[in-house]
Amino acid sequence: MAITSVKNLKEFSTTNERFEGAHLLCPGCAHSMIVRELMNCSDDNLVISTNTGCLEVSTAVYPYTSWDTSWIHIGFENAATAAAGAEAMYKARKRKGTLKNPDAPVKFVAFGGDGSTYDIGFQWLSGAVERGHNFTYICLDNENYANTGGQRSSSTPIGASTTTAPAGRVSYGEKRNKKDMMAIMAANGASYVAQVAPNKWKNMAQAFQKALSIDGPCYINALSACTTEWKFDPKDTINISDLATDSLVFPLYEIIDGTELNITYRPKNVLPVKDYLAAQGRFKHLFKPENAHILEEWQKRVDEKWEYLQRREEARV
Amino acid sequence: MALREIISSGNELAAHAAIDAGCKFFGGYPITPSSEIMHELSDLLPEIGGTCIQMEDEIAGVACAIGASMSGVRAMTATSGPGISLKAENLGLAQIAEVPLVVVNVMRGGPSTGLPTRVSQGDVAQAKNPSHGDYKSITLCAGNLAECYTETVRAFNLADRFMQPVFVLLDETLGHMHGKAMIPAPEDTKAGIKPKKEFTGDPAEYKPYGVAQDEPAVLNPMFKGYRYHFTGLHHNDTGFPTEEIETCRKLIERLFNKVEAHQEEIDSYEEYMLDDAEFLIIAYGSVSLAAKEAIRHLRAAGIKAGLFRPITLWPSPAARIKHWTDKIQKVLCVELNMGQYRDEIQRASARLDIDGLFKVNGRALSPYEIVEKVKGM
Repeated sequence: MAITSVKNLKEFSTTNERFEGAHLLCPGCAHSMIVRELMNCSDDNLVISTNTGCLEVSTAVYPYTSWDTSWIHIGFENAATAAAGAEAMYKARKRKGTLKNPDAPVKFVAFGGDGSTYDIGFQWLSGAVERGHNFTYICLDNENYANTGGQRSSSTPIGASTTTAPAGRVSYGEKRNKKDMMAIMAANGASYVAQVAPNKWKNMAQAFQKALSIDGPCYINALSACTTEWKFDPKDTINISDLATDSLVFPLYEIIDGTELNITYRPKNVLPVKDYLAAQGRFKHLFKPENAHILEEWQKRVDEKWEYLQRREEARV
Repeated sequence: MALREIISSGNELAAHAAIDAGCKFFGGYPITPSSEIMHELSDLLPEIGGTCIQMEDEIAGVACAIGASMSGVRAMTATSGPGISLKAENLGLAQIAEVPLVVVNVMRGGPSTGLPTRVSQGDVAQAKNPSHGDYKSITLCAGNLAECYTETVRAFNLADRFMQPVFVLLDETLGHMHGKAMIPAPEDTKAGIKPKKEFTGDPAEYKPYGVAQDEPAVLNPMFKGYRYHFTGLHHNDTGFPTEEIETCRKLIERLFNKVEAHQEEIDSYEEYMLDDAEFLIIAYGSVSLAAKEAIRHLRAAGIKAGLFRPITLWPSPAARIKHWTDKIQKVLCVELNMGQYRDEIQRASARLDIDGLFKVNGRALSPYEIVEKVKGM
């Protein structure tokens, strides 16, 4: 069934299943929700590349695969390059008239975790976006290297305890704020960038469909709550995502052609940041009296960011 | 020397060895099966005022460790084969600029992403020449839990002595093996540290690379008033780039000579039940544990087998290998690769009839596989 717009869950549930559920991701992992939605909200042929990471190791263990489409894995850092190469070849063959079915719609999508997107794959993604390939890069942002044992990444937010930024006597955990990939990708020349979360599934589907319809490089940063390393009950993935979007820790917005910023979700009741932090084991130590200043800084930064996004939206620049 | 009993894993022992050996800096990047070394050091280093940084990729991980070492502190990085492939360019820089560094490689199946969680010894040839160009690698290979500690300590001392990167090869089996090990007390390890050579004369006379043809550079710690230059280019005695014919020749020859002329300081090997042996088994790393078990079984069945285990893989203990391969006719090289070290055994022994038992499916060798192989020889 061809979808032009996703109206409700009932309608969405009748779409073809293109991402098979029999994978090895942790129970409660948000990765599969995001990937499934991306694949189900398009009827086009999808060429998907994936960086090394939880998604890659869990969805294609021989003799099984969850991918009912063309799927490429090369290395830790080069999903963007793989998609770029496939897209360039597709264009060349189309030009030469050597495609069997030149009118079939094809979309190129790359998936990476935050480790391979914010860190080791950063320059590869930047190059692919700069060259203007027609593809959509989706970062499954779970704010750590979950596949190799929960190390920090440059997406890990301040104060989180990870295996390589452990909280303890000497440290309160990660010392740096999360890198702003949205701003970076917008400045890098991406035609469309958006931040999405699986709890706002309709908003997420719209962003995916927009990205797939745009002729040019698109970047989507998808919140993917990690039950294992964020330390919450697997049944709470959507609750945690709700806390992230409603406390504005993870605001949902899009930037078109590097300038036009639109906020795509405004919570009716904005929750305090500490509600989001308190629900996860990785921030437990922040509630000790000596770390009160981190909680204050968190709230301040979230407020400032929200203020900034609203001003950018109004200013239309 | 007082030994202490400790229950730990190979990776954790390598991390503790670094601390006891005076390492103050670790730069790295997550990679299975070596990540536990970084986990442990991210706990241990801050407590002693050291620094553990997780960088944005493998290349940055080794580069920042080289930078720390240039400033004068003991520094380390740890990774697995794919990480070494990425770090190769910077390892070449450390070779030509003569920067001491300890590089732990917990080997997994390759090439490329390979078998991330499975054991292999596929990086033995890579350790000899990870980067382009001519230099002489020093590579140590731990064969049991205790050596994960002692060989890491030795690597720090050799790196400072010869002013170059020193590899410590572990493998997934050893890195993730938990068990009892008898290791030296921290005080004994500390007492064994030999301070790096330092020039104390007039700064105007200081020629860091102007040393004898069989000696390493003398690089003073930074910020002490001694001026010199680090470069990846061929350089003269002050470290500044040059293309002068004789200087270039002497530089590269010295990178070889400084190791070859002092091989007795680097050599290390174990000889197990060799005196009356009729079968010579050569094995290293975790495979040697299976080999020893196999030898006990063979001897119980009346077959006289013995083990030669190189601990320093590069430069190889070639003279000692020749000694045993001259004496014993039947030689079997057992490795978790396609015979990377057998090539070296053939070279050292000048024999082409060295038998091999090679396994490359990511699984450890069982003693019985070795027993069967020897019985069929």
